Amino acid sequence: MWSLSRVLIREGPSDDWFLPILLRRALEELVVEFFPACREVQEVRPLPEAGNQHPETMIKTLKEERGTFDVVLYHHDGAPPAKSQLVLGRIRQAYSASDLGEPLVAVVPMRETEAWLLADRTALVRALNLRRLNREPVSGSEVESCPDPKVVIDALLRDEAGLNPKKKGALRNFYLSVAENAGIAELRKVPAFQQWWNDMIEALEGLGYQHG
Amino acid sequence: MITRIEIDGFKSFENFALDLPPFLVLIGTNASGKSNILDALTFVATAGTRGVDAAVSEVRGDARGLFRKRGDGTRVDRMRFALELLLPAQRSSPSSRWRWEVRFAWAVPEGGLEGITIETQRLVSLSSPDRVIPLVEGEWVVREGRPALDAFSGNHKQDGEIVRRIKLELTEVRSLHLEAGSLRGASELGGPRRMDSTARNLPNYLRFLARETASENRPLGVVGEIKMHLVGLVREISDFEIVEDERRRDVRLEFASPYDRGLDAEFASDGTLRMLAILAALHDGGTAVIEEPENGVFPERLRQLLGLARELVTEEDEAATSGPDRPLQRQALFTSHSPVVLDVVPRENIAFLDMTTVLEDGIASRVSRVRRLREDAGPVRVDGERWPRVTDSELGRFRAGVEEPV
Ligand SMILES: Nc1ncnc2c1ncn2[C@@H]1O[C@H](COP(=O)(O)OP(=O)(O)OP(=O)(O)O)[C@@H](O)[C@H]1O
Ligand SMILES: [Mg+2]
Repeated sequence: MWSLSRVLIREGPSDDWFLPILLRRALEELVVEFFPACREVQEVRPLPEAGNQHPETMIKTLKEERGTFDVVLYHHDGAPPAKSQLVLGRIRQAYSASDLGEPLVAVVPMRETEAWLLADRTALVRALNLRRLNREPVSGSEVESCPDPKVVIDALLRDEAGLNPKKKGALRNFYLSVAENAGIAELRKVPAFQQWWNDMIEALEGLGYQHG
Repeated sequence: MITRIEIDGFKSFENFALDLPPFLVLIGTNASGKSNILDALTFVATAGTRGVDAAVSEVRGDARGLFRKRGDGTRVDRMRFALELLLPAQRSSPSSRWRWEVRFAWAVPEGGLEGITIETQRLVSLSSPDRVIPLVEGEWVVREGRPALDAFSGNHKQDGEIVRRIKLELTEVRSLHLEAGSLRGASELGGPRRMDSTARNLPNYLRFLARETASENRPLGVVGEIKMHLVGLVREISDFEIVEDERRRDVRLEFASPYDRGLDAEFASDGTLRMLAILAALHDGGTAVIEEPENGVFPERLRQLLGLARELVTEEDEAATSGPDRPLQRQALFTSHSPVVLDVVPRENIAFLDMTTVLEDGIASRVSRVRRLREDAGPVRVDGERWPRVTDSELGRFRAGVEEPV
């Protein structure tokens, strides 16, 4: 029986609010569609101790956790692109030089992953328990061109739902609810997300998973 | 003593197995299946000893609701359990290990009422593997009212004896989910001897424990120990008395402190009564299953309580070898959310629950996952364990560290 487990290297605590859920749910759909031999998708576990900037710390942490994961998900924000590319390159290089054999799959949005939360309008309406959105924030494939998704989310919470986005508890639970509700099909219209999806398929093929 | 439980198709369990040492604490996130394990144990033990109808009424939920619901809303039609038991050494007979396998099905018979039936069951000896209690393999059905294990008897005398002892072990599975209101109440003279799972009837239960275990020199039996431990754990209490009131025909508890005698249970603190009920359950023989002992208990005292529970249980090798006048056999199973557990309980006595997603014919369903904790620098992958062990980094979650992943 194939069972799939992953750890997530991420930027900060707010990524934990939604990325593990979103990625796990996406993976469930991915394996059902492409790898029916896979019988289980375990939780995506964040590894805060790994940081995401320094290859040595990251590799050291991963070695300590060895055996608990089949795939490493590495998240870094995409903006500014020059810096993001540089860090990602450095990480990839150090990782392949290490003796860790599990595939490393990058989770890199065009700017910030928060944009992904906006991809599915229905999920926003549902998370905030509204009848409808009065003003349409960006959605679908355009979310990634949104210069500052956090500002859009703040406005959404404030103007549509009367919530104070400065209050962390409300913000966290909003992120979480959207992650539990967002349609994966909608997310796949976002190019950077689709890129991750493709990379993930490739990584699973590399692990010996057979297409159905 | 129950040494292993396997569950499939009951509530949130799919191909789930857990070895039970004599002392085990289940920790884990909310809605991860901790109480479901206790329900499973209660359900199968009650079905074995009192029948399916009683089993349904002892657990949370209705008959059909107990069958696992898949991600698409459909339900499975079968529930499979296996319990492995260690029957302690007794006078002439050495200890032996048995495995009881039982499968329940949801049945809608033509012209009859729908309900849970027992489809098949068998008892296998683990001590001498080719001994299977005869006449019990194969498909047959036991109806709701009859204790499942009764279907085994009526064979060889020796087999009947084994079944009787297994039944006894399972009768002694007691779960405890305390409720403040029940704890304070009086018992009636002539009322039930045991407390129920909310701790209603605690006074009579203490009286019963005292009678059962009294000896010439220890007139209160284990209740003497319970008193001593209560004083050690609560401090403000120096003693309690079980007062039998012939005129009111009831039995009440009266506490005493160094400064005050005759403090009625109604005025005792919640924590005092909780501790007392837990201590009582831990001093009885059999398997005590205790939900969230940390409720209403000061963390330092919880530490002491868990330490004490560990001392009170019977180690497996002790149960296997003890002689004719063996002391009570005791096992304790706790659920908890308290980080104190990690400080006082050895790793091998902790199991961590959370959820995972299984995929069945393209349908994703959430089910419970159980993992043991990794020993210091020990292996992550262990033979026979479905999931890798929990590492220290992940336990940070349970300790509620500064950065809190969801
Ligand atoms: N028939 C069923 N099929 C599938 N899942 C079920 C079924 N019955 C209950 N569950 C799931 O079990 C979960 C509850 O588990 P349980 O009561 O054991 O939680 P717990 O770990 O004790 O949590 P807490 O710490 O909050 O007490 C619920 O999320 C519920 O969805
Ligand atoms: Mg519970």
